[in-house]
This record gives sequence, C-alpha cells and structure tokens, in this order.
Amino acid sequence: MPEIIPIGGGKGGAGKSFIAANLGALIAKKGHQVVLVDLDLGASNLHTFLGIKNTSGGLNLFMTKQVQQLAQVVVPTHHANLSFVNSVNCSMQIANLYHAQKVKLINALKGLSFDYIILDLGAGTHFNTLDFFLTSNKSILVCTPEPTAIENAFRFIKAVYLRKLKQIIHLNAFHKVIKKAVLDEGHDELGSADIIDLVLKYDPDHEMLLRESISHFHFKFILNQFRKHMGTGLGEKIEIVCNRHFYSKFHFLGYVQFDDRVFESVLRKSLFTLSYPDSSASASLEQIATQLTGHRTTAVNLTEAS
Amino acid sequence: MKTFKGKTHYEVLGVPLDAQAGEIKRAYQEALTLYEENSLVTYSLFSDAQRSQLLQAIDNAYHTLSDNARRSAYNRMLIDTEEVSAELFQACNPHERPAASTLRPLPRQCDLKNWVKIKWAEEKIRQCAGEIMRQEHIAGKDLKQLREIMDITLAEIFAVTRIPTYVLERIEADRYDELPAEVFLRGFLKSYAQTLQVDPMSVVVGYLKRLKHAHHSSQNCK
Repeated sequence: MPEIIPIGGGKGGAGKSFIAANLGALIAKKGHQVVLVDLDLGASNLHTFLGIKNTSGGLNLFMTKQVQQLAQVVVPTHHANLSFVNSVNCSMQIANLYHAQKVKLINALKGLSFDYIILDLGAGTHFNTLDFFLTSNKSILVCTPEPTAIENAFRFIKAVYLRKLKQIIHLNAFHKVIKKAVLDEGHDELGSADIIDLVLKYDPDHEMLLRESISHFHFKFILNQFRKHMGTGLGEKIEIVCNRHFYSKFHFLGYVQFDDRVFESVLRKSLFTLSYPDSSASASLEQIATQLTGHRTTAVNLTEAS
Repeated sequence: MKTFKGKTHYEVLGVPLDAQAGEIKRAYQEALTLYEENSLVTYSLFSDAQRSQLLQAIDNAYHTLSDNARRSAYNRMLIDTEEVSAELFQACNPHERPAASTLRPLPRQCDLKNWVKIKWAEEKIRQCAGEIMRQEHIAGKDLKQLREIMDITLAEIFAVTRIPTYVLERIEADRYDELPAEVFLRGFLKSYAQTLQVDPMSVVVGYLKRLKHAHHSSQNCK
C-alpha cells in the first residue's frame, strides 16, 4: 500500500510546491519509488520546480476518461525513482471536481504502485482540497512565520478539523438530529464546538467515539522561509498550543530556512536541494524527509465520506 | 476547540505539582507569550472572548500558585474533591524545599508597573528615593536599596528589562571592572531606572560620574 503525503496549507506562496518537489526528490534519493501529483488544479506549477517542459497529457486525460488507468499519465522525471503527474491541462471544470470524480481520483491514487505519493495541493480551504488533505494521516501543512500566513494556516486547520468531524458523524451511527444538523447543506455556519455541543446534548454515548476518532487524525507542519531573527521556538510553541486546544495530534516537522538561491534555482529549473545540498534549508529538508520515511504507517481510508 | 475548562492550575501553567516558585513564574511568563493578543503563536486562533478567558485562567492559576497560603488551600481542595490524590502531593512537598531566594513568589497580584506605582505612594519610599536622587554620585548599592524597599527581586527586574541578573548584580555591587561597555551600561541603567520609576537620566549620569570618579582615583593611586 503506498503512503500518501498530501501537502497543503491555507496561504498561496508559502512554498507548498517547493517543499513537495524537494521532499519528493529527497525521498526518491533514499531509494523509495515516489510519484509527485500536482493537485493544485487550475493553478498548477509543480512541473516548473521539476524542470519539466512537456506538459501535454497529465491528469486531464484520466479525469476526462481518455485513458482508463491513472498509471498511464504518470511520467518519469530527470531524477531516478521520481515520477510525476501534471495537471496543467485540467480545465476550470475539473478544478471544481464532482464528488464522484474526487472519489475516483482518490481511489486511483491509492492504487498506484509506488512507495510514496506526494500530493501538492492548492491554496485555500475548498472542500476538495480538504478532502485530499484528509486522504492520509501523514498530511503536511506548510506555513511561513508571518501573521497572515499563520492566520490562513489556522483557518485551514479549523476547516480540515470541521470537515473531519463531519466525516466521522457521516460514517457512524449518530443520533438523527445530529446527522441532520451537521450534514444538511444549509448549516455551513456550524462550527466544531457546536458539533461537539450537539453530540453532548443529543448523543452523549457517542461523545467518546467522536473524540477518539478525531484524536486519530494527525497534522504535521513545516515552517518555511524561516529567517534567523524570527525568534526561536515558534514552531514548537505552535505545536504545544495546538495539541492543547485541538483534539487532533500536531507534530512540528521543522524549519526550512529562507534562501535567496531558491528563486534562482526555480529560474534554472533545477531542484534546490540537489543544486545546494550543503545549504541549511537542504539540511532541514533532508532531516524532514528522514522523519517521514523513518516509520511507515498505512493510509486511512476515508473515501466513502462526502 | 478545548479550553482550560476542567484543568487544574498546574495543568494550565503546564508545571508539575512540586513546581518551585521560579518554575511557576517562568511558566506564567511563557504562557503569556503564547496567549497575549499579538502573539504570533496563536495569531487569529482564538476569538477575543476565548482569548480573554484563557488569559483569565492563566492569571488565576498564577495568582493561586505563586502564593504559598493560597496554593496550600488550593492543593487541599484538589485532594478533597479527589481531582489529585493526596499521595501525589506527599511525594512532592514544595514547602519543604528551600526556595531560590531571588525567585521567590510575587507578594502581589498586579504587574510590576502597578506595584511600583503603589509603592511610590509610601512615604518612606518617596523619602529614600529623594535622598538617592539628590546625590551627585549614584552607587549601585543605592539602586539596590531602593529596589529592596520596594520589595522587588532581581528576577522581576530581569523579567521586565531582560537584563541578565548577573549584570544587574554587578551593577548593584559596583563591580566596575566587570560591567559591560558603556554604551550597553547606559541602556541597562536607563531601563532599570524606568522600572523603578525614577528619572533615568539622573541615574545614568549619577552612576557614570561615580564610576569615572572611581576610575580616576584608582589610576591616581597607581
């Protein structure tokens, strides 16, 4: 069973594609078979980081049923063990996937015969992005140490958390009042706390189940573009606070230092960690790649959820 | 989202049952950096109402745990309501251990700034400060005297000014040879004076005058 690593995070420009491409390359370098899948539908640019110019075909062919198997649109990259699925040609209709298409795609991803499948997700909190993020228990949130980025990251976390709560309620035998309140389309303003209150009120027997299920979900996060003067301990402190105030588990993977040469290496269409393996940013990414491959857990099956 | 509801004061501050005064104080200051309004760590994570509730809980916890009498009463309450078993407390009795003198708990509920303000209302403090400030030369021991009658520890000065306590000790002991460079010393004296709410310029000028005078006389002796 492949291990899926979705990479998301509310804000655009935080470095999701940069992290995805470089982590993919580092994990591939360790000898694992890795496929990078660009799921930033409508705004994809993962191919740029990989230096891939030919972007014909790709995910579009699979989504429009021009090919039957997702494996048919997987292409090799310049790097050993590292493959790629582009989504450059996905039209705007595909950016707003139907539920059935999404389930089909998630199942197809899980069926790919690779060791690691890295999903590069788009910015924002669209429910498709949230569902891709929730396909695995190894999801990584990328954030920069700025107020606006942190604000968006928390919004993303809360959105994922709420979506997860709704999935749990959907998949389990909760009281019908709760199911109706939570799953009715008209109740978008319902927050996580409201859901837990509802459960406490109508279905206290299921409260433990809800807490248990939500506590199985893990968030991992990376602080990217970190500069020395930004104060140490920010990531560790965010981890403490989140673990204290959410029922899910949070794990801080590490800082990736800001480096001017990232811009230049994107221009040259070469991967930063391979061009500058001795930089501190590369060392941090290497350390994160080691953490991710150190122990293998199986992906959580969430495809049935809406 | 979980709040501090149902958490003990020890859990709120994240300290063990046998935490010493210094540890409690550090944990309190650390908690404030996490939850204060402009903290990057929790930026936009909480609503204003949630945040003020959390800060209130942190203040309550510190107010209780930093006072020996209140802490003992609270511990008894925890044991009586069976939230924490008595054996756990017996295993670690904080009062039997000598507390670090510089880190003893605050004898007050308000922050240092208000405390100094309150102290300034006392006649003996106004008198003492007046005498010190009227001198042409100001010695470290004068500053120490003023600080001590206001019942403020070096650790508290450090908490506000971030001047390391060993530097404060050197300043107060007039150990001129071990002081930092003048440009830093000026800054340190200024923030120290501001914390005690005395005129910073007079303190800087008076202290440096005495320091230079001492240097001259030691050179003349040679």
